[in-house]
Amino acid sequence: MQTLLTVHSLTYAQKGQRLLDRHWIRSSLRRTPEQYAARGCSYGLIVQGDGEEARRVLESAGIRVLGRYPYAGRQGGE
Amino acid sequence: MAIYFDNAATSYPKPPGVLRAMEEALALYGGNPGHGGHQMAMRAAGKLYGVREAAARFFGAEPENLVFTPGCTYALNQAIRGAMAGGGRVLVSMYDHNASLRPAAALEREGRCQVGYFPVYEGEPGRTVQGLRQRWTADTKAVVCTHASNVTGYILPVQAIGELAHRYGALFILDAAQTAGVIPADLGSTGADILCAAGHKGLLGPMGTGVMALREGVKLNPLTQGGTGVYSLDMAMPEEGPERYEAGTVNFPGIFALGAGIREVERRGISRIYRREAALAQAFSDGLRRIPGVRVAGRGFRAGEYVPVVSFTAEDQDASEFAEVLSARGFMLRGGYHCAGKIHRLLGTEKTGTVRFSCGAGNTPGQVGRLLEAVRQAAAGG
Repeated sequence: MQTLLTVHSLTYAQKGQRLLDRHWIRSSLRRTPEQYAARGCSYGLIVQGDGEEARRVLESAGIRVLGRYPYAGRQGGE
Repeated sequence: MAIYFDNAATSYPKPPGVLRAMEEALALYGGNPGHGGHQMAMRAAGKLYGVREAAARFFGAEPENLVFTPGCTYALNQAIRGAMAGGGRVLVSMYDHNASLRPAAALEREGRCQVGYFPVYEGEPGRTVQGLRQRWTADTKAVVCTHASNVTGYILPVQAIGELAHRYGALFILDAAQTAGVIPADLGSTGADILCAAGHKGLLGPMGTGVMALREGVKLNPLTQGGTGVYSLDMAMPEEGPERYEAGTVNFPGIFALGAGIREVERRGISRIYRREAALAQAFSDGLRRIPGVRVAGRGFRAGEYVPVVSFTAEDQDASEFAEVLSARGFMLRGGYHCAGKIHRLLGTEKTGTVRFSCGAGNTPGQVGRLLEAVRQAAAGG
């Protein structure tokens, strides 16, 4: 199972990815599918599992998670 | 080949790593970072973030509060216009560059705020701060000052200035164009709320790069609006930085090369950089005092109190013409008013301007010696 975590900006997504790395949580960064990008165009982090731990790690560092969605997309991203 | 002594304008030569980085960016990372999800755009975005992280660390900011700008001037315009959006009064030092003076003056002409100016007294930091305090009014919202003068090199008492600003609840905006990469210049050590720096001087990056570092919690109205790669359906700029302040396509090749410049500065070490260049500036400043007819502007270089910039005049000779004479003899210095609109009144150099020496990594003691001989001859009319 994969989960998409949406955040405010590409920079926050990149910062979040580094942070998750340090907590041994692997993530890939990609453009958010438009169905989840309410305001058009955004970036998010794909993590394994339900994303709850990743969400906690991000929010404890001040990176607000805007949404958490099951993700069944293709491989790719950075 | 002529010898370059104009590093206060822009540093030269650039380290080989900076040149390589520029080429690498253009050849390998051609996608638009943050404006697409395909491989090349994402790779470029990753590289951009790497530089943002490094620059943020360098200036003591969080990555989301480190904004890339086309230069220090743009950063100062963003900072000053953003800080004064609600009106009030801004105090600017008379040692400041027109990059601060002009946006403040423009805001006043537009009726958006009032501007006051405070003098700087070299070697008397307490008197400088007292002058600022005397000019404080209840509606003062921000203080802007240069970290070091681009004319005399004097390092202002910025910590004390910042403390005063904060005591009265004002923002402290710092122009670190002449200090970033030369002496410690970060949010923590300077006390600045907003630190603006050029990427192409002491940081050894290419022209067309600069940064604005914001203390956590500082938020400004963006200077420009445009595409940010996110929230395209919104007609407002994003609420969060840095995208809030980076409309349009960033100068990725320049920023990537700036990253190489910052790495080089860190590799060399700021203490070592300053010690080496200070010795050259001291030798030049001391040598000038032995040349008849030549006067050093300000107190002259003193290690620890000045960055390696020395300005001088030669009798009543026009500084621009004197600099041309030196250029013809193979020495590249800048002559004139150095885009510093108010300092010359304090220095007594309004009539002639000054010739400015600003050394860098590419200069040697031997070159300084030959320059002094050229100055001696030119001052004597030879």
